[in-house]
Amino acid sequence: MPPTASGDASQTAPRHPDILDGAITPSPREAAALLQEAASAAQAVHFRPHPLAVAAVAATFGLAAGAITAGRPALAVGATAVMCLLALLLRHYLWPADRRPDPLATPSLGSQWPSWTVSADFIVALTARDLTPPAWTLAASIGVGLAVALHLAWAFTVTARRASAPAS
Amino acid sequence: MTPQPAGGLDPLIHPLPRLRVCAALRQADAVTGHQQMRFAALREAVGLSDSALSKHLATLEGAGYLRRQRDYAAVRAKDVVWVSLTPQGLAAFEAHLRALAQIAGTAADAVTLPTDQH
Repeated sequence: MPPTASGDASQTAPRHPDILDGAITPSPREAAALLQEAASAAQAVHFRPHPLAVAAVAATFGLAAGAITAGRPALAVGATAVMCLLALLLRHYLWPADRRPDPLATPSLGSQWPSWTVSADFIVALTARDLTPPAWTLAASIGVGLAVALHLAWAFTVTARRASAPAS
Repeated sequence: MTPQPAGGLDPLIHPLPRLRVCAALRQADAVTGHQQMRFAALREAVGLSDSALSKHLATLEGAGYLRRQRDYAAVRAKDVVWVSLTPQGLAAFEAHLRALAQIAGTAADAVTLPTDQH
């Protein structure tokens, strides 16, 4: 049976979506159905962040901030260490594993910066040639790095002051 | 050989599985120079088997509409294939969508086109 001729609105579904040449086009209903198929395929694509990773990082960050405020450097350092581990989770869960930046993308300051917060992750990124994280990954890496530096500086300062303090 | 589009309709994209492949890649912003989409995720989005999807991808790749990149692992089963539309493929797909919408006429009003992310 020949495929539907152009402009034939009597058809209710795409009968031969695999048949097309220069002289044959789908009917309006077929075209509408094909558009609907394209839309449904697009809607089937989901890249969602992992809510547990988001919640865990937020809680750990809050704990570290609270520890600094309360003058508990050891707790702050511990929380920061946990935060570093969670950064690895962020890298693997928040950044969708099913999608990545194209290695052939035009380099830019943000895209060239590797996710170096966790060294193992950096090695993985190098292996996978995945050196093009988005800007938020760069910001998160810098933020976690700064937090690590501040917390370590706080801990060392307090330790040094305790060591140098005269015994009472 | 690159097919000659007829009135905006592209014979290579017209088959339903390839139309779905292009729609999913476009929705994921998986365009060369931007992002790449993992083969497994694309397979789930379009609902095809590995072999069927590979065949359609090979056809689109042969026409220059698509690019595949394989990350090799210790064994072939663990290789990861990344897929992206080329700019040429994206342009052809969008022209195809426009042609379909034009043919659909008023019927296209009831159809939600994939959102444009560019």
